[in-house]
Amino acid sequence: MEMNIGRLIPEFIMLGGAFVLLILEFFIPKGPRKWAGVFGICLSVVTAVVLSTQGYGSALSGLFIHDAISLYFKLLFLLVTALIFYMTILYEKNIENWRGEFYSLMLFCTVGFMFLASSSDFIGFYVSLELVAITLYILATFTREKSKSVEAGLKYIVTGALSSGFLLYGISFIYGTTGQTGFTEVAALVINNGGNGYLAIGLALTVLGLTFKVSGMPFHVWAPDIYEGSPTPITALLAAGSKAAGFVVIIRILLTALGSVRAEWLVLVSVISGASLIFGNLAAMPQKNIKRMIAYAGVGSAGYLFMAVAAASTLGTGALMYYLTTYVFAITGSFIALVIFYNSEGSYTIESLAGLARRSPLLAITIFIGFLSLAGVPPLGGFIAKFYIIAAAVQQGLWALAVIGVLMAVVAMYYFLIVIRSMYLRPAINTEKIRVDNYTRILLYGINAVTVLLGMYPGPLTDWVMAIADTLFV
Amino acid sequence: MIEQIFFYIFAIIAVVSAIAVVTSKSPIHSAIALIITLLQVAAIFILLRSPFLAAVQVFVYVGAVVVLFLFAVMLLDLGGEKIKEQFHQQTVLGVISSVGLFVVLLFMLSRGSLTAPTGGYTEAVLAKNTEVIGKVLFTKYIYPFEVVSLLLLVALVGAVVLVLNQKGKDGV
Amino acid sequence: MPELGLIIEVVLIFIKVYIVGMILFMLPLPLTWLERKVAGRIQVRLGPHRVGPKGLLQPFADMVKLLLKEDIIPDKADRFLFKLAPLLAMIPAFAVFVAIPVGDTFTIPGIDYVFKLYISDMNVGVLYVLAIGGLGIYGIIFGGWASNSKYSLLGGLRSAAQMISYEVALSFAAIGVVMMSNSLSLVEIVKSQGGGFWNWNLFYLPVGPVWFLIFFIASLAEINRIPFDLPEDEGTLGSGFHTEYSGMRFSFFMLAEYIAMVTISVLAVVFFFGGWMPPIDPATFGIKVPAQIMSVWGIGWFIAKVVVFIYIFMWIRFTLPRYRYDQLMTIGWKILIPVSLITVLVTGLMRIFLT
Repeated sequence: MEMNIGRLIPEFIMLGGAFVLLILEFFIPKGPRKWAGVFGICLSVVTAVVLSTQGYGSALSGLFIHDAISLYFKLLFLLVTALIFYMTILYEKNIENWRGEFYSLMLFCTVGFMFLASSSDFIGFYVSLELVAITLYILATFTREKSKSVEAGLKYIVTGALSSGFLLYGISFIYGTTGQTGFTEVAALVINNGGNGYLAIGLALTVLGLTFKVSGMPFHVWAPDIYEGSPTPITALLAAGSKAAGFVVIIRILLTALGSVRAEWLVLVSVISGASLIFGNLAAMPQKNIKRMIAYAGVGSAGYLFMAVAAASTLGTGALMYYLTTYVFAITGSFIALVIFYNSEGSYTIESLAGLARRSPLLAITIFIGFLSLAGVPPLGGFIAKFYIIAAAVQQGLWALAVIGVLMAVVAMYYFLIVIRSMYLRPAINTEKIRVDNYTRILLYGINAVTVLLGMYPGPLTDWVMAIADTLFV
Repeated sequence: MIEQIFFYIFAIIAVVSAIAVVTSKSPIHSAIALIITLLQVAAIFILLRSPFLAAVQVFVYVGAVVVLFLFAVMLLDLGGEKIKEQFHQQTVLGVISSVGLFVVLLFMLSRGSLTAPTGGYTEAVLAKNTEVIGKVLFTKYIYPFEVVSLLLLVALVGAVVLVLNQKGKDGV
Repeated sequence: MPELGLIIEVVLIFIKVYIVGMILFMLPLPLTWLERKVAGRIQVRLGPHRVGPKGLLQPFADMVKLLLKEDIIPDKADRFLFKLAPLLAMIPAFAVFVAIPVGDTFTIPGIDYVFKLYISDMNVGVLYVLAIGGLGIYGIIFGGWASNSKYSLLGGLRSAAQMISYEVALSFAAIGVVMMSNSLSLVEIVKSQGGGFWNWNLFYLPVGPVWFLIFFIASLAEINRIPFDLPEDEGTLGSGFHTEYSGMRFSFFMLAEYIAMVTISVLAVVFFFGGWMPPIDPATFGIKVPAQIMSVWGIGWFIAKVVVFIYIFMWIRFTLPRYRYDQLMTIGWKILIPVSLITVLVTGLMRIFLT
């Protein structure tokens, strides 16, 4: 059996960093940990560089694979981690009795994401998923003195445990009917033997269990409360990282392992997609709190992403990756802006954003661009992503989904515009200017530029993701 | 034949006591029912020629996890009467959806068939069950095994971080 | 129709179970007498001496007393659990002995029938013993809870926490034994220690004695004996989890406790002192002794070693003071577990590089 431990070097670097922070925490007096955040950012960059130099192949008896998809998603995760570490540095002072384990746990979470992207086996995938889940349970509850945070953590654990139950039960059916746990082995057996009742049960339960990670229907109920109650960087991590991690697994399971029985899961995934789209976008409309609104909008996004999965084509999968990338930039950009706003205002309600454009044009324009990209307004990255997804759905004949997708994009525009109206057209209650330091300034300019660029000049990234998606359908 | 009879005995007791876990009023009685369920599962493991799993099941779940449950229940003094309040108007909805799920599962099961090749392990190999598990765990499945150890570390750190008295100055 | 050999096997198993069960039931009688005599000797007094010669009939008098006493169930107790708890304490204590080997085999001369001196040689014997032994805790927890008395509840709670804490160290000690003997079967573990006392796991230097100490301390805590008998700390808790019990139900708890002591003694002997292996094997000096005689001789050694351990437990009971609760937890989590972890590492390295 080949082990090829060398292929895990990027993960080992991240793990090493997590352990270093964990041990250092023991020796260093309490207080702010800006340097730990900077350390995490540097670590992510180093890991990304090392990762890019790794060759494709498998390791650890084939249970760990490194291929084009895992490379893409791992780079995405590292990007998210670096941005969220930056966000945490800004957010640190809002957490009473700050503990440095926060950074260490975030690194563990990233390692979990990376393992998820590389798992090629139901067992490995499940334990990686639990690694991520448990880290996120802890991080969501981190501000223990706030009852909202405790409520968030508790709800997250309970729904998480329930969905894990579904997932494991489903996996056991898939194992029972095929006798294999590896994705490619399952795929081979399924092609030969076709689907049957057991496989269908396993499939349905697995997909339902996975909707929890990506906050799709029917396991979406946790999202608003947890987005609202968690520390804001963790909300961003849940929104951007967890969603991407969930979908890389869904791609691997539905398209790699069970791609040949698409007929069995098409209806289920389409229903999940449509329900998430409608529910998420309609429920986002009356929200007063931005974090809750983004949570519901996130349910809607899961709907789009499931639509891309349902299309099961090169275009669809490429669009999914494109969507996640634009999503990451939109979410992290607007959340960094929100964190700075929160630092001075202590509130996340839409009303309190009134007049932000005059108080800090940079923050306002960042949120403006981020939200419009989430809504899918033309010159921005989000538009291209939604366009590709709907095109993929149309290409595969999923007309109903495509129509719902277009309609809901309009609805999304409505509630995101409410926020923008509040920022630009409402008079400010508090006219004091909000200061943004220079590093953050540069970063926000950068993120905004990327979001615009992804919309104006999608060529290079499109080529890349389509090439990656092609490897799935050879 | 005898094995099947025993399997059904164990399985029926397991299911009945699992239902008792969620329906009994007192948390302590739930815990007892849970112990019975877990013991039945251990018995089924023995029928499946997996004495190692059976022993670990008893050792870890019955011997430690449920003891911790009981510890928490007793420490918090969870009375029986409070349980009732938790079933509010969603009871009907919950019953409908679980019955629906059950029906769908039954329908799917009736359509199902096992396509997996069975009997990968012979009686001679199964006699060395522990050895087989040990070898597989440290060769083929080393990756999940190590991830689980990370997971436990994170859970441990998390438990300490969340429970430590954060108000105290470096207090334990 | 099953074959004759199988039927004989099954019948023999029933007979063995019956014999072991009876022995265990009767064992507390001599043990209580011994305990009191030891206590008397240590505290410079006589101990029981009125009922029968040297007080030998005292246990029978106690038994009659316990049988005749009123069986009280407290008013607001959970009646079902209250009645169940003593049985839950007792049954696992008995069940452990299914796996305990008192000897290897005995070939009956003439018919050449190989008679096994154990009920079952499981290939997961160590795990089985620890798992089933650990279930006895439920008797204490449920007994403490069902009594509906604060002393009992506190006793049960303490017991639960203590047992969870020390089970980790105890399992580590078992892991150490498994690593030294390279098997999970109790029979194999004893066999690996044959050939003379220098082969015993205790003398697997330098880790053997460390494992033994960890095992000994952890098992003292597991069976709730002094110096770790906080669940029944009479100074603060009345008499702990069995405060509300009387008569036969109370005696079941006592029975379980005595059997647990015997179990731990037996396990110490099997794990570290070569089980039925005599300290010096005649075979090493080239002396040929018939196998049957060696078997009986081995059983003698086994019993002798167990008795020594039981004596040590009693000795400790009457000489050491009780630990405080926080000290108990400190010993468990901050000393025994780290030491165990280091010793696992050392033992592993020794297994790799010395064999």
